Amino acid sequence: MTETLASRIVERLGRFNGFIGLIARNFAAGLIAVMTVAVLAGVFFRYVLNNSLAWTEDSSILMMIWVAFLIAPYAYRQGGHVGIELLVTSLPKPIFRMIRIVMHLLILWLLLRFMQEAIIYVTRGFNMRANTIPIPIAYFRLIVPVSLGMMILIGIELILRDVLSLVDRNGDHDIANRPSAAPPE
Amino acid sequence: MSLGYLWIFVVLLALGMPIAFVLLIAPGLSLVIDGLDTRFFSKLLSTLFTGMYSFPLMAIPFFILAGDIMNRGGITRNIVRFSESVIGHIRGGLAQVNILSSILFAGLSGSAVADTSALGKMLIPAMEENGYSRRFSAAVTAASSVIGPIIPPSGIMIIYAFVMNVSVAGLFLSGFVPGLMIGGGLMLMTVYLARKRNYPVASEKATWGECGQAFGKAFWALLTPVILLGGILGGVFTPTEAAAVAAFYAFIVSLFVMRTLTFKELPSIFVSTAIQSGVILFLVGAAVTFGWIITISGLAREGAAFVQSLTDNVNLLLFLVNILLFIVGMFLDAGPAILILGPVLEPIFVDQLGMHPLHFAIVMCVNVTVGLATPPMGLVLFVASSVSGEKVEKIAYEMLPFLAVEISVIFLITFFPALSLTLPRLFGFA
Repeated sequence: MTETLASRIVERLGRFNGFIGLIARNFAAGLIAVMTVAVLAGVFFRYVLNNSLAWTEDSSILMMIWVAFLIAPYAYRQGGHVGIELLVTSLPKPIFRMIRIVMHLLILWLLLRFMQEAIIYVTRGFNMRANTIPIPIAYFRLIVPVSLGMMILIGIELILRDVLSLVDRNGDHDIANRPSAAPPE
Repeated sequence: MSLGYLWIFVVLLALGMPIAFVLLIAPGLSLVIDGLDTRFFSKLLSTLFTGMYSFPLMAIPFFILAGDIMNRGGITRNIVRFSESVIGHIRGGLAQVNILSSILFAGLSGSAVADTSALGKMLIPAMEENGYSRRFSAAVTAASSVIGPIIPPSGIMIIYAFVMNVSVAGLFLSGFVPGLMIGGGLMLMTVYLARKRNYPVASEKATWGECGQAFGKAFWALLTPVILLGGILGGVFTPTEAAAVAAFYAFIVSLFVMRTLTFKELPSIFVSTAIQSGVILFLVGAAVTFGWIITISGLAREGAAFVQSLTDNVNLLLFLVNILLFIVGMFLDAGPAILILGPVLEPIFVDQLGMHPLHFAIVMCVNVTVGLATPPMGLVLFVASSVSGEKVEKIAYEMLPFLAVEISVIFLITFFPALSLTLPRLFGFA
């Protein structure tokens, strides 16, 4: 009874995390397109119109940083961050799960500790500007707590899934067919 | 602060925690243990953000984008056809075509994995049909794909240049000769194997006319490296702008000239680029943070003292560092290997022992790139296995002669700096 309730909560949390992860991913894809255009516009204005656009460089760098922070939660949930799983996957499944729970708890600790710092980091940014952009840098830094918040929810989901899989003998509660994001290189 | 974070780092890495998080948690925990967390934790977070604040770094997403567009745009097929018209008629023809295509492809893409999957999908089935064993076909594909990030452009070199502050253009130039040496070496090894095992020829010798026709179809693709490197070396673009221009060029050519790409495919290309770049960029941010911890903890200094206490023979140290990099490359991806070991090793060999920065850079880049094709953790090997359906260990075994070639090249460029430094010197980068 409690198990089914718990698994329902996990499924609901999972659906929410999957949904916002997808939004973040698609937003990141849009930013890739926009930053490509921004850099090309920079080249075009410099050579063809003989008039350098000052803001393209700073704004495209900030977009790139946003891509990293937007993709981080998505990749965390999909198992897309590269790691060496050779040793742990050769262990018996329950031990593997226990180790993974500890790893996710450590990550959760870091994320929560970072969240504290992130709030200060954003508020300090209200008096600062990137060289060529007239908006306070705080607005660009907002992506940090947003990304951390998404990862905290995902961390909780992943821990709950492993705990449920350990206590529930009827099967595992892993995310179904995770399409692993191909890491580059 | 103490060096305790190194042990935490190794343990967490071995227990399968994603590397990006290990790079942040190991120093984080260590700061807490040392009671320094209230002072330094805010810097740990802000460095993650500012660590990515770099225009040169942006070449990474653009090169990934350019590669993605070209892989879907049918450019692979044209390059393979052109290679076949040039070299298909000799014994072991398709194996040679595979290697030549990898060399040509290396000038367009900066990623070994992309080369393996693009060329493997096309050539492994064709080779099997032609009478090669599946494991040999997959082995040739994997072995030759590592040329991708050695001949410019190269994602790995951009990462190295960013973290260690060397010139991207200089590093690109120093990769040419080592890349061609590996390509040539693999071809010679294939000639030998083809005679010994009596592999078939692929096709009749093509006439000049047929060659020209195949070249015409591949022309637009083969122009990419010319635009890229010409633009960078001629001072027209920065490498980042060149990467964006390459993406734009690939886009125009596949969409309007060759008409092999449709607008409908674009969103999925941007999504795949975002995922690949997001993962690597986050890792770069974490690695910059880790690099800062390495500096304030004095690890580089202690490491240098330790290394110099072993021996003061630079050549012996270089031999040892190659062994170390090779072993690390067996377990780590090329990018993370550079991000983690670069800041530790570079100061020792460049600042303390006086090696040329580009020389050490190319040795390290080539070594960890070859590591992409070595078991147990070799991304290129995994992709070759999934594309061919052959087991990883069988491909790895079949690859041994090719690996011997690649290891020889690593040692040649290590002990003969002129091989990698002559080109950058000619262009004034070294």
